Amino acid sequence: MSNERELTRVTYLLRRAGICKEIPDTPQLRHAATRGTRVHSLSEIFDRHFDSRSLSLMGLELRGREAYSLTNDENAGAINRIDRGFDTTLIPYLRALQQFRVEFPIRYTRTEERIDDVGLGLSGCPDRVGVQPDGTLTLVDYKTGNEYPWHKYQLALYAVLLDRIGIKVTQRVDAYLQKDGSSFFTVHDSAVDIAEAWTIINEHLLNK
Amino acid sequence: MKTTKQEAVIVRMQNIPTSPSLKKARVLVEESGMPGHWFPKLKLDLEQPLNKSTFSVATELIAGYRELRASAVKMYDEMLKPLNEKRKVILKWKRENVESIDDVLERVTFRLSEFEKQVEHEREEQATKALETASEQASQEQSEIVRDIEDALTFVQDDTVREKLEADLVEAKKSPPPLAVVMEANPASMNDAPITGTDRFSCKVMDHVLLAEAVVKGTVPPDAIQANQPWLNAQARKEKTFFSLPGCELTITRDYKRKGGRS
Repeated sequence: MSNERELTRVTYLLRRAGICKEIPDTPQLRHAATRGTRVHSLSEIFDRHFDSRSLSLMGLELRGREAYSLTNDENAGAINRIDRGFDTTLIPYLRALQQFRVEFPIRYTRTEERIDDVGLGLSGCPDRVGVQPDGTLTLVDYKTGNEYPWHKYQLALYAVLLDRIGIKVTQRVDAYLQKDGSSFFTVHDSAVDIAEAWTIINEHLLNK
Repeated sequence: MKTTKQEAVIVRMQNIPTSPSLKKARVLVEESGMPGHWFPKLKLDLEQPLNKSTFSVATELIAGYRELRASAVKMYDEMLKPLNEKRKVILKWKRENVESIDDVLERVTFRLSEFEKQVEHEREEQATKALETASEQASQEQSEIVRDIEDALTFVQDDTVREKLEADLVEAKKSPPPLAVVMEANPASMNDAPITGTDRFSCKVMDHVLLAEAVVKGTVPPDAIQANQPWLNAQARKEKTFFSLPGCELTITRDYKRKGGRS
């Protein structure tokens, strides 16, 4: 049986390897982290409910404190749940998510499922795994801040974890949801990133 | 007494030769009272629409001010002429020097980017091979571990040891060993370099019609295309009041010039 306490989280591993900088504990960054978590929770609800017909997102209207669907009554339950205590500052992120889902059509098959790899002493929780219309199995990670070089290593490490449980993703996508309601995404498919991810893992195993 | 910049300009403006038309314009205005202040206060209330009596004031004013403007432009142009000539020379030196530096930068950038792309391509191939090799090795290693455990299970009698071995067997089958990927150091690594590379993305329109069609279909936002304003203006000038294009509205603005030969 796995002992979760022995497992190192991917993001912590990247910090320890010096690839991702240690985040200083400031009120501003704490706020940014909280906002990121809330956007992730919200995007999870949206992606779960709008997954099978991503185009229904087009009918999603966001007005002031309200967020509801114009076209799908069956989705109203999910939206109403969001409505209660809804933080309006998150609305632009939902618009950004909507934009991403329209620009990058994908049917998600796996959402926020944690992977514990005892053999590697690693654990990670990739945001989404899904299939693009052309059948490409893709890993998607949502980000609410800026683009950083370490993001590609985070995705590569997730890809390694997924690969070891038999899910072989060919594309890794960082989706950047911006506070102005826009979004952009970066597609990674380099084998070098995977090879470097293994180097990071092997160093981690040596230091264990 | 120190002369302020504004006063200096006023003094120079007073030196502008005045024509009869300009004199007329000056008559139509009253001095503001400031010593040396050339700019007059208008006798024409521009907040009010014109009437029969102020119409002629306005036409004379425009004629006079047109001439004043021409004189002012000429005077400043003369003052600027020697400066412009010097500036032209200095700009030429600057352009020549910077151009030669830019040329070197451009050529080295091209070579560097070419080398980086080649290295990236080679490293991609190297990584793919390294991953394949490491994967084969790991798979072999996993089979050996599984075989060893299975062999051990055939002769181990002790139940506790058997249980332990069986658990190990399940784990060994489930979890392959980590891949020992060996990669050479990146020869184009920028880590210790005094520069950093940034990709700049841009776009060149290859088929305007195709792009416009996509905008019409709504798959591309209208911001992607921009109306050719100089061409549209030229059409409007050519067709005058007959100008009619979808999505466009004719705009007419009237301008006034001094009549030729009148001073």
